[in-house]
Amino acid sequence: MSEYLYTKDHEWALREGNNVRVGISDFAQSELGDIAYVELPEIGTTVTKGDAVCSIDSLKSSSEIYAPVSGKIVEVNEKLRNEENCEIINSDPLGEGWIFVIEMSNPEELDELMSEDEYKKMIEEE
Amino acid sequence: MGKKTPLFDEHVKLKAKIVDFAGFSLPVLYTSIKSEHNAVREKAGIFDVSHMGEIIVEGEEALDFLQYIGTNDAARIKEKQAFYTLMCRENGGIIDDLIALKYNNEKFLLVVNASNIDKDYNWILTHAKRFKQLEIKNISDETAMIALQGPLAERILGQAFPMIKELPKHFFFKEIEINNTSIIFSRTGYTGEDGFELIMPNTSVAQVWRTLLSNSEGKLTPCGLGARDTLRIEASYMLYGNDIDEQHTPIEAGLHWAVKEKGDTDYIAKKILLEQKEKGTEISLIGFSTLSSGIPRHGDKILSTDGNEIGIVTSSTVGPYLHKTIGMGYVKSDFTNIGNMLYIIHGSKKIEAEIVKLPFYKREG
Repeated sequence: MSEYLYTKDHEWALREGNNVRVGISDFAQSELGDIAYVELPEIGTTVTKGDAVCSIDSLKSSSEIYAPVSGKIVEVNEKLRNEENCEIINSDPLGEGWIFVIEMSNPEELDELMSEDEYKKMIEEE
Repeated sequence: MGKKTPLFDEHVKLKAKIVDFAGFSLPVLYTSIKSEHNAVREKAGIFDVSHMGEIIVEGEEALDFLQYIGTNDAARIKEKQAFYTLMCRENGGIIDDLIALKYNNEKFLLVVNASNIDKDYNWILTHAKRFKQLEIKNISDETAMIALQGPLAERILGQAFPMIKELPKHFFFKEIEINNTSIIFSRTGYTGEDGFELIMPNTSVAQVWRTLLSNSEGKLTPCGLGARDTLRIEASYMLYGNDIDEQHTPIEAGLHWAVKEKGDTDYIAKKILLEQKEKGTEISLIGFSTLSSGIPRHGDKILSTDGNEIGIVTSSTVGPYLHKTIGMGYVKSDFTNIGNMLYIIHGSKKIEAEIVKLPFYKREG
């Protein structure tokens, strides 16, 4: 059973103890197309669930990535600073294409996220 | 759902991602913009461009009419030659940019932007009244078009249509009867590569599309609007609505080469355009390349290094072939020197950029 939780804005969240690793879903990367640039957040930034944390640019459009839970940014995927590497979000969105890690201030917020099955259902209905 | 082109089913078969563009349902991509873009630069790409408009101008005074309605000099163009020209309002504002195919002095085929078909047709009809017996036909709805672009385009076309003895040269066209259909092969394009635009009746286009793909030895990639845009930006071609519109003149847009004196022949906006050519304009279209991270977008403000607002971005993208973030915009003419530094405001971000020479990309040979 998959550990990945999802938001309605197509982010995934993977719990790692008191932290949560965040990226965009396979559906999202497919909709966005070739990712060309990611504006990574600063480490130490406090975020509230639902805040826009950073932006992601594809050749077609720009999109915001929202915090699935509240907390503090403790890690970012440094690889993405190099624009040439951004395509990893397209090729491995759930793995090497992760974007940032939040240290949670409110772990109960995880209960408000969708399971992988619920998310799959949501995108089928879109 | 927009209007379907006659190739819609082919796009569905190829699992294209369909979007709305100028009232048409067209593929934005089939696989990825980047791979389609680079396929055109390295091998060949095929595009459905049936949304474009086609207007025939025919009659004794067709040449005089083209001289009056467009900025370029149609008299200097040879028979079976194509040329780029612009139609402007009396104040110099651009109504549309287009490619005109000159059959001879009595017949021209104008290929216009999809978003301007009705506007262009009405403008042409209005002004045609000044000329004797002109026949103006808007054949956009019955006419389809395929663009075949890239270094392998010539070879693929030759393999698909071996009955054609000699293909037209750059910016020339031929009308050829194939299987009882008249197809125009025009050696023109919007990508910056060698290539062809094939114009034909709706009823033939699906067969031609399939014939090209099956005779390409796997080297022909279907390409959508996404790649069409990134390709034309790298080649620094104008996109009506983005880089040119009725609020800008061809001289401001750097298209002075398509605005000719034509001796004593008068034409719409001639006076103001030649004056601008001579005296200069307050703003000019420039090309830039970014130096810090971020991708500018149409409408982003451009500042000088002093922080003063001096312009606006009209088009920008990461060039998939050039691996650089590039774009165009209008800037106050005092600031347009190559190498000048600019700031582009994108949301809350300040992107550093420098003015570079256009075109960003030019094919070799």
